[in-house]
Amino acid sequence: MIQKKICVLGAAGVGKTSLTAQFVYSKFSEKYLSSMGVKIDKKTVEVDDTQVNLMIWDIHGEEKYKKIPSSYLRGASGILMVIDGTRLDTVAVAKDIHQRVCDELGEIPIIYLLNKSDLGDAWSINDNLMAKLESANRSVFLTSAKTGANVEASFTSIAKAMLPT
Amino acid sequence: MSANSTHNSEAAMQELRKLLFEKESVRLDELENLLRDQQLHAQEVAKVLAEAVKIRNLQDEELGKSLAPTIEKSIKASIAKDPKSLSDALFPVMGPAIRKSINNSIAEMLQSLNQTLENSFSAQGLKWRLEAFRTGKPFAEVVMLNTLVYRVEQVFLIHKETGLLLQHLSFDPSLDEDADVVSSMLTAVQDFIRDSFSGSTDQGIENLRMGDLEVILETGPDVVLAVVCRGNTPRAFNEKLQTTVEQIQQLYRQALQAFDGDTEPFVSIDEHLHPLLVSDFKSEEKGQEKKKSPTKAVLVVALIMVTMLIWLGFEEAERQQTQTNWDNYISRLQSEEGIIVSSVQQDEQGYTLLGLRDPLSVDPYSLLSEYHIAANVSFFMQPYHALQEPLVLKRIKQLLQPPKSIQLIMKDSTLTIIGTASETWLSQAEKAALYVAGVENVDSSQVSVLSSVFEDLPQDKGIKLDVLPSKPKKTITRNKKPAKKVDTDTDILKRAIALLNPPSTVEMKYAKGILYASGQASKSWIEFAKNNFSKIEEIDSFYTSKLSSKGIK
Ligand SMILES: Nc1nc2c(ncn2[C@@H]2O[C@H](COP(=O)(O)OP(=O)(O)OP(=O)(O)O)[C@@H](O)[C@H]2O)c(=O)[nH]1
Ligand SMILES: [Mg+2]
Repeated sequence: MIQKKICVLGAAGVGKTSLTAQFVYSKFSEKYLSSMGVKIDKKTVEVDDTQVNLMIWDIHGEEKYKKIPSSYLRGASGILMVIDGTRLDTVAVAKDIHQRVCDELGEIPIIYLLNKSDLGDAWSINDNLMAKLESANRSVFLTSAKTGANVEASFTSIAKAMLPT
Repeated sequence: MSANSTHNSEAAMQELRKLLFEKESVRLDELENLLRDQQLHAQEVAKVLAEAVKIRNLQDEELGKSLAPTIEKSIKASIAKDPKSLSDALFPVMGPAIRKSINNSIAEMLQSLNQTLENSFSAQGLKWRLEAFRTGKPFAEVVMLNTLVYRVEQVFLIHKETGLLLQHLSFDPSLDEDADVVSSMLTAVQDFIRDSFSGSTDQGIENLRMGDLEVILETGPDVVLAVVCRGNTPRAFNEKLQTTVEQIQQLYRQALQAFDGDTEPFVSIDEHLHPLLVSDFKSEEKGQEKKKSPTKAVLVVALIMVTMLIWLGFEEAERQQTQTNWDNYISRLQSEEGIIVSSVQQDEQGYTLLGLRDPLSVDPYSLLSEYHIAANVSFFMQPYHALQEPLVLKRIKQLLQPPKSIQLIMKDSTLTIIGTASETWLSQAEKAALYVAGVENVDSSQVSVLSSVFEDLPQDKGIKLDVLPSKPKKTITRNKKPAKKVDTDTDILKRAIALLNPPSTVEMKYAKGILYASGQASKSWIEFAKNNFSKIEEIDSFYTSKLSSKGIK
């Protein structure tokens, strides 16, 4: 059995905890409980006949005075970077965190999740920005923690990216 | 023409030289290069360096001497640049040498914290008191030595960098399921505390305590060994943990550093971890282990996380005030009867208070708020029985449950009982009081004993005197010498024989409140004995199953 540590990162309230809960427990709640510190869950996925035990570190949202501590990032083999598709400002936060991850962990697989895709009306990521994100050579998924769309797919995808090819 | 021929002959010479010395000239060129080119030079030296060093070292020690300053300098430079790399490299070698040699007796007491002395009137309690007296050791230490109980319930070997679980062992296989999550959580907690308190990267917490459970963390450069124990592990166990980490570091260093989530290479680590799943049930063997009594509120458990937040907000001025409050609090504790503060330790997590506490004294935890102490305070107070008279008196009252009609006075190691009480209560009280540490004599000469009219009411051992008629028909005044000693078994047997006057065919024995009779006797004597044995207060029951009345009129 292979174990891997992954971190779910992003601005506050983008849906990190919800995505993890949807993936691990198939549950969703509208209630917003802002995370403090880190919560760790696990789930095993199968990639090309290999069982990968994902240790998922759901870390509190990055804010100006509440930066993500380096110690939580240490030893991660992959990152799920979450953006709230209805809040443009969360893109910039993701970019900042991305930079830090590169500085501290080097080149590791990072996958972008544009979350809350079920909220069509408030959606604020236009095709232009979407294309930009994709062309930056990153995998991008449109996810919804609410409907579960693409949630499984993104976690499986990061698992796959972390295994030696 | 001649010029031409000279030219020709020159060319011919060249040709000839080439034919004759080609090999040599190439070699000459090579040699020239060798002398000129530093790089090639180095390559040549490299070929013989090891050999040369070996040979020289066999001859004398000059080489070592001349290299020493350079080596020293380079080590210093290396440490200055990155102390971690060097200390990591040295860890397996140095570890055993830098054993934390904290060796004060208080630290030893820590091992037995939370061991409440069940019942000081038990034979065991008295035995320990005696032992303390005999050996001159503090009572608490004797208790500690006698009650050490612990069990290691789970062992986690954690990859330090990733927090991933390398190996897990446990008593109870149902715990295996979430071991990997616990493992990650432990690293996160450890990291968090480290980040919040100290800048240095190698100062991990060493243990977390939650009620009866303790998590001991032993950290090496690449692994964290976490052990969950119930009860109190002996100091030697911590050393065992250190050795284990050192061994694992040494044997698996490369695999640990190359770890990519595949635990396969670590399967054989089992053999190092199994010896850690140990337990010690010293007191259970002796049938002493009971459920911990509720009075063990003595130990206030501190979960480090809780107070961390408080800690972070401290200002310097507040710190001053806090210090004064703390000092006042400590001197208050020291002036309290039944509390002995033997040491106060302060670290990032707060204060740790070690000492002794009589369960009947003021609860030091409840005093914290009175002194506005918000810091995290862990109390490791060994229970003991204080001999100050107010506390002795308190304990006696708890034990004897005196009726309202009785007044108890404790002075100069003598318990004076005044008032009105039943014979049953009084005789029990006289006996029991002597078992309370600090009581040497009992003076009951001023007690009016209620008549046997009330005494003989069936089964009413615990009569409440205050609900009896306020004026008993008859009272007798008892004038008794202070009860100094309790009768021995032989004394009691003698008294029983005198009272019951058994026929010669009957043999009697007495032990622990039970009177045994065997042999042959008349029905009427047996009847008489059954009715009267209880007149001797020490005798609780009378065994007659070995008595027969066959063939006797
Ligand atoms: N409609 C919709 N709501 C979502 C979705 N994902 C999350 N939410 C809601 O967004 C809010 C924030 O979600 P969380 O999962 O707690 O966000 P978070 O990133 O963990 O927040 P922090 O822990 O504070 O950083 C909650 O009220 C969720 O119900 C989604 O896909 N669709
Ligand atoms: Mg959250």
